[in-house]
Amino acid sequence: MKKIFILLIAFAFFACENIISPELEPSLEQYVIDAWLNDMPGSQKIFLSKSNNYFISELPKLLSGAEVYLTDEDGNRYDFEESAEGYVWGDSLSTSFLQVGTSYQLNVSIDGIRFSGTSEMNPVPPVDSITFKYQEEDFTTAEDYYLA
Amino acid sequence: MRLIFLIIFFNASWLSAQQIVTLNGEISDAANGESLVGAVVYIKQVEGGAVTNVYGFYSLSVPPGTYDVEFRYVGFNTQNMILKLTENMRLDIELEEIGKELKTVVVSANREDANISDVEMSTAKLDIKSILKVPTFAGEVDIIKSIQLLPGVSTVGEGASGFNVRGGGAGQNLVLLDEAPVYQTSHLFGFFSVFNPDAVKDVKLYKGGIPPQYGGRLASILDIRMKEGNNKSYEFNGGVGTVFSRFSVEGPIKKEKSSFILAGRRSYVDVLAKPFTDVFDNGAALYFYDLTAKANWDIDDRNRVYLSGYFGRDVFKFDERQGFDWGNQTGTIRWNHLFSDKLFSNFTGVFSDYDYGFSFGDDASDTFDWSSNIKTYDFKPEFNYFLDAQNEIVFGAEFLFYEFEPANAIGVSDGFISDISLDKKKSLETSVYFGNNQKINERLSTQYGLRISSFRYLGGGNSYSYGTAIPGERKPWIGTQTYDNMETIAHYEVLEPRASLRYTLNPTSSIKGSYNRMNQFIHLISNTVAATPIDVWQPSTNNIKPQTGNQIAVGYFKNLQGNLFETSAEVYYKWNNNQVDYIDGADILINEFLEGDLLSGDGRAYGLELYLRKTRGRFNGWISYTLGKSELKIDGVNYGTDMAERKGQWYPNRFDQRHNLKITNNYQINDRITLSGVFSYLSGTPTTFPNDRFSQQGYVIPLLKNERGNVRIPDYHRLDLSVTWDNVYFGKKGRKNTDYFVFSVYNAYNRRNPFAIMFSQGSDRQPSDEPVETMASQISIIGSFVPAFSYNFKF
Repeated sequence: MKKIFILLIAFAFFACENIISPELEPSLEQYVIDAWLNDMPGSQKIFLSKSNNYFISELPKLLSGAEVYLTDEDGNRYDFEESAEGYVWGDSLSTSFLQVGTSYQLNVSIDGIRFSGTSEMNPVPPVDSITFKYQEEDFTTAEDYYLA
Repeated sequence: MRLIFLIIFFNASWLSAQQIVTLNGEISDAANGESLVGAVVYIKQVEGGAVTNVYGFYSLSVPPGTYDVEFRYVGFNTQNMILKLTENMRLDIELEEIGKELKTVVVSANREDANISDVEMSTAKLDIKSILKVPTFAGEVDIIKSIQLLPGVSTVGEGASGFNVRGGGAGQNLVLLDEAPVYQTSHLFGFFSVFNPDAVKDVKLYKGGIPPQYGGRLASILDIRMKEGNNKSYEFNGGVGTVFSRFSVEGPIKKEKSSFILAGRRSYVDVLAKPFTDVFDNGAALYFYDLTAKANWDIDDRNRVYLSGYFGRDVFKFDERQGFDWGNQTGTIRWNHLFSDKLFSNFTGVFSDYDYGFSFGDDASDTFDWSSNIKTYDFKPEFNYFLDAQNEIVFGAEFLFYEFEPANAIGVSDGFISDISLDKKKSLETSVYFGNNQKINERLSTQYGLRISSFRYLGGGNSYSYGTAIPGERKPWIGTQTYDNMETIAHYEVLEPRASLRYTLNPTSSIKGSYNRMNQFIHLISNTVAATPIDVWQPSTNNIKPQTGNQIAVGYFKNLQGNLFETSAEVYYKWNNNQVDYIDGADILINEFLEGDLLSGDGRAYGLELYLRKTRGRFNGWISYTLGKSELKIDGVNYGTDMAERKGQWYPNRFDQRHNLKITNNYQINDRITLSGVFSYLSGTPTTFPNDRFSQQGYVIPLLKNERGNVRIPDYHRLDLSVTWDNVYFGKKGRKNTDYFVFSVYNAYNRRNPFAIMFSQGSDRQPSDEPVETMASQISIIGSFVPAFSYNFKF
């Protein structure tokens, strides 16, 4: 809504837009653990990185030397091995160890700091239908489009 | 109240023991009958006198005798009289304006040396006639823009609403138009102010040393008084400008007894553009207008009645169903009554309604309409008791009733209507006050008083209680209590002492000091500094305490070369309690449990204000500079690493501006042509930017530090130039008709000042092995110079 408001003012006046690079403080270097696991066949991957300054457009760099593993409710441990793409369990032929309705704990140890988190694998609701809606061109969009 | 009457009674009985006569009356402009506010009556023999009040009334008590009496007002010829006073006397005086050649004063004070001799400090008075030559946006005279050229007054930037005084928020200013509160001072998102200069007589801004008759806001009082209208002959004023045109008519209803003024303005971009574009065909609209009206009747020497009203509206629609609109309406009825030669009274009744809203939706089955309003009813009896040449007592009361409608919201989704409106909130603010202007001796004058206010948050409706939460987190709702209509839910009582004093060092210099305490019972909750009409006003409740503010200020005032140069230096320190801010991720709009999202803490602001003005000559103008700092300390905000208690540390508020420099110059080339220039430099205000980014499944997520106001937006600076050409058509001297043409250039050197800064990411779909681009872009509403003209006339 703010955008529309600015757009309209811009229309009415002598507005212009510039790309700027305000000075920010040094990066906070916060640990980022990106673990998106599922019960699909294939390998499971966890990526560890650090946050970087907002204006540095770079792919995140993998942090190496971490210990990464999952445990389930029964105390089974699944270790993730370090590789170039992240910390990986299994390979493309593996069948995922994750099961719907089970709780897992993620444990990460890096630079002497231990992080852990618990999450339950939930079922995905089935999609029963998809509808498309035609949207006419208006002030929010430049062209007509379809909304799914 | 009993105490007040006792004092008066005591003084009165003491006086009757002596032989005293009273001289009183009204001072007005000979040309149109407008009363002159702040005109001086000076008696040489007693080395003292009186100043007319806001209705032009004065009263002066002296022992019987023969006196040399002077009646003077800046820009007008002084009248001298020798009066033999043996009994009480009424004397109404009309002063003639001085010829044009000397009238280049810009911000004028009452007397040439008023800045030295008045007790008041931290105030600025604007004479409407004199701000005509200051170049402004689109060549239009603008009251709010003009006061921003004074020290201690600033704005956050282009398109920002209202103004900021000494580090205070826009919602901490009380703006009164003929005593009626005006909640929104901006037209067109802040580019113009809502006051029509044709209908304004007198503007006074109090930044500190606020007298006891005012209260209700922390930072400042802007008191705008409307013209009464010419009571001698008809007068027409008007102007044709780039954005809007104005027209006003004033004249006598019954000559010298009653008069009226009617003034209107309307923008006409929409009207002019209509034949050339189809933008307006689907119901889109872009316009604003305002209408100001006033009438007064001089019933007899002791009674006068005034009726005034203001109606303004902004409409901003993208199409038939979507857009914003807002407007103020005010009405004031006043009755001046003279109980005796010394006791002047005024009874004011006020109604004010500010409503604002927006609508969105594609078609009739998918719409969202939101509106909100504040209705204010105010009754104010006020008394001036002119005790003697040394004391002028003021006392009175105020009864202010508010009715807030925080959200009247109806959403329609696929034809299904849901009403998510919130309950109305009511409250009553009552005050009594007493003050005295006392001249202790030739050198020392004081002004002191006390205001006692009480605030009641009233039912009906629900009041909520909240549990405790970790500071900075949403407070959980724990209970609801239902109250009957007008039942008291919460009650606060406060004392507000006020005092100012002036000590004259020598005829050209003085020092002044002041202390005042203010309380604010209604709070503006806004998540933006832009003048969007979606700000929410929230009364104090059982959960939100009134804001309290204290200020001390000390100043040194010196005039040089026979008042040719005026200089002043003031320092101020303010400490405030119960300042309102909100939690991270607060939901401000249509939130029944808004109070659970609000935090409160302390505020402080301090600064130095310097002012140098050349008052006369072909080349005149002023420089104002403010060095300031304004901060907040609220538990749960900016607590750094104190994760356990989350004790807040000081952080800059959104109006914290380190430097504020304004240079205003006028150069009169000849009788008809004047060049003017205004340069403004404002330090960037703080804002909160993401510091870091990280990726989650290929999506970039901005990361904010636990720190508000971590980045300053770029500094704001701008130069405006204008040429005023007087008497373009109606040339000849001595004619009553006058006109002038203004050509102005706003932002002369194409500075791109920030209006909005937006953080965004590359929107194109990225290959997974390439990083997503993140950037910040700055929108400048005025990205180039803007030329404009206006033609103005009077006949």
